[in-house]
Amino acid sequence: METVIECKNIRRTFVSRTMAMKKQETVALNNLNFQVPQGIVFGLLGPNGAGKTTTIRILATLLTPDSGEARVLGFNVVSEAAKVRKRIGLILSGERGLYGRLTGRENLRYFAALNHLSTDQSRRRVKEVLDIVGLTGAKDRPVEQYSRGMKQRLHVARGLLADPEILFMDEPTIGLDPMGAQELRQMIPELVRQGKTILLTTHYMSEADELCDQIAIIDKGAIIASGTPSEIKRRFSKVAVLEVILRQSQVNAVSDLTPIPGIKHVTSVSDGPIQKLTIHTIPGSEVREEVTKVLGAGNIESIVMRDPTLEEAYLSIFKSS
Amino acid sequence: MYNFIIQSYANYKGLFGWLSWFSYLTTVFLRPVVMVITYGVLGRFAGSPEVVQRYAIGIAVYSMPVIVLPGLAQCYTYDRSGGTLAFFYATPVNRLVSYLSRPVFHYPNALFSFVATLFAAWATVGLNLVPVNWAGFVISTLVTAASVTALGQFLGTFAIVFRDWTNVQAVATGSLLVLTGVIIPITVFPTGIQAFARFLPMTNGLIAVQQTFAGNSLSDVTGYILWESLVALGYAVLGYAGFLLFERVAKRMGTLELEAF
Repeated sequence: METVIECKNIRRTFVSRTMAMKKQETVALNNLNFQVPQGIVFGLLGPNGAGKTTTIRILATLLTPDSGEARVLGFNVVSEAAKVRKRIGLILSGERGLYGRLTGRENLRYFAALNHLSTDQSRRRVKEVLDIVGLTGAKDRPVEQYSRGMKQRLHVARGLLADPEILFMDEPTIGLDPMGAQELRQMIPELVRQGKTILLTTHYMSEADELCDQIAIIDKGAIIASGTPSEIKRRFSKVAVLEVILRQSQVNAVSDLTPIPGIKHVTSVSDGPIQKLTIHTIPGSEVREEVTKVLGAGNIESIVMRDPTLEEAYLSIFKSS
Repeated sequence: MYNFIIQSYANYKGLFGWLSWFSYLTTVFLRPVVMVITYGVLGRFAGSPEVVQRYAIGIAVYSMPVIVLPGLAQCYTYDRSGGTLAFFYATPVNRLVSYLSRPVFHYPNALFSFVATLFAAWATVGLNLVPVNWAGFVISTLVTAASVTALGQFLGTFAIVFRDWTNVQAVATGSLLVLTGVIIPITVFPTGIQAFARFLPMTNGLIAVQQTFAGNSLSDVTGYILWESLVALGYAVLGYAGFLLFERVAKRMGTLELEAF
């Protein structure tokens, strides 16, 4: 598949000065390298301050890298920025980024004008994207009267306005209620089916697991793991997970299980009389028999070995680093 | 053309901080009217009818930067603080078209303020309208308003990079009161300051406005109008250069989405 987004040895440092004019440098990106093939959802995951937002800003031509090269659809984001901007859509999260005194429709018409849409294209496309995000009923209200979720949906509408080939989404479901978030998550595969490529950052591992065809995990400005969600779970999760449901709660279940060889960590969640134990074990260690003996076979409703989640793999990566 | 108008409208409605009725009427009409009455009465007590007229015309012209300079500074400042400037720069919009669209709705504010101030002066301290050369007076006024607007654009672009720029812009507005002959004739200043004043908006346009108001012909003030036009063009070009340069600087420094205050 053709590579549509490429970062080679990108470095970016932010410099600030204290009141005493002392220089402070923050290295946001440290020789960042990754590639995104066409027609997929690519997830960029990492803790706060890892460099996700800086990466998106550079690719969207809003920030200049100190060194290295970034390309979108073959165009250099610095020297050919104008060509990049014609082909991308940007969806950021947050309360900012919209004109509060303008209505939803006026905001979109303005950005349609900035994207060189003709009068007819603008009218048609504004109506379409408002329908897509479910804001048709609120289109003539000033954005300052919108709820947080409505503003986020308007961000999405703006990103889709020019029907771009590449979409950059920086935590797009933040602020959305569960239904709104689900609607957006359902929209993403449809956008990919239309031929778009999506670079997505998110803190929600389940969202990344559900949506992303490939993932890169970034920390301190560099990629520390990449692959499909399954590959990352298999390769990086240093735990196997045993889930046990007890018919009756046992107060000492966690402390009784923890000393068993092969068990790394036990968590317990109670729901009425039922207790659910999540046991992280060293892969390959046989603990099922010992666990059954400790808890009592008669008290065990179910005992299941399952694959680690992406979140568990992600946490394994950061705990080991 | 549609896109140009949409950009002008959206910038004005979305970013002009004095767009409520109360703020607009106070700033565009009430403040300059109070100023002209104050200075007009001062002129009457301090001098002669000629002084009253000079003060009145000067304050009427000065009312233009009082509304336009902060208005345009707000457009850039609030665009940055509101987080919309980044989205603007992520689009392929023609930067020149966008730059030219921003002051379109601010220019008429300069004229509204000028007319209101002049009317207030005529109504309160008395202005003799009989000798006015209206054609020359109108042309002088329009050109002066354009050069003030161009200065507003030039100063406004600094807000793309610099914080708290509205404070500096306020100093610039105040300086125009002193240095352009609004109250104090520039001939009392040292030669160096007089030379500097010639490159400020209003200095030459104000002379043209005053002379045509007194009845001089258009040909008498052509030189001043042409010079004022060149000043307007100069600030417009400098402003556009700043618009492009500061985009690059902001992207280099990473300040595009930082608060402007």
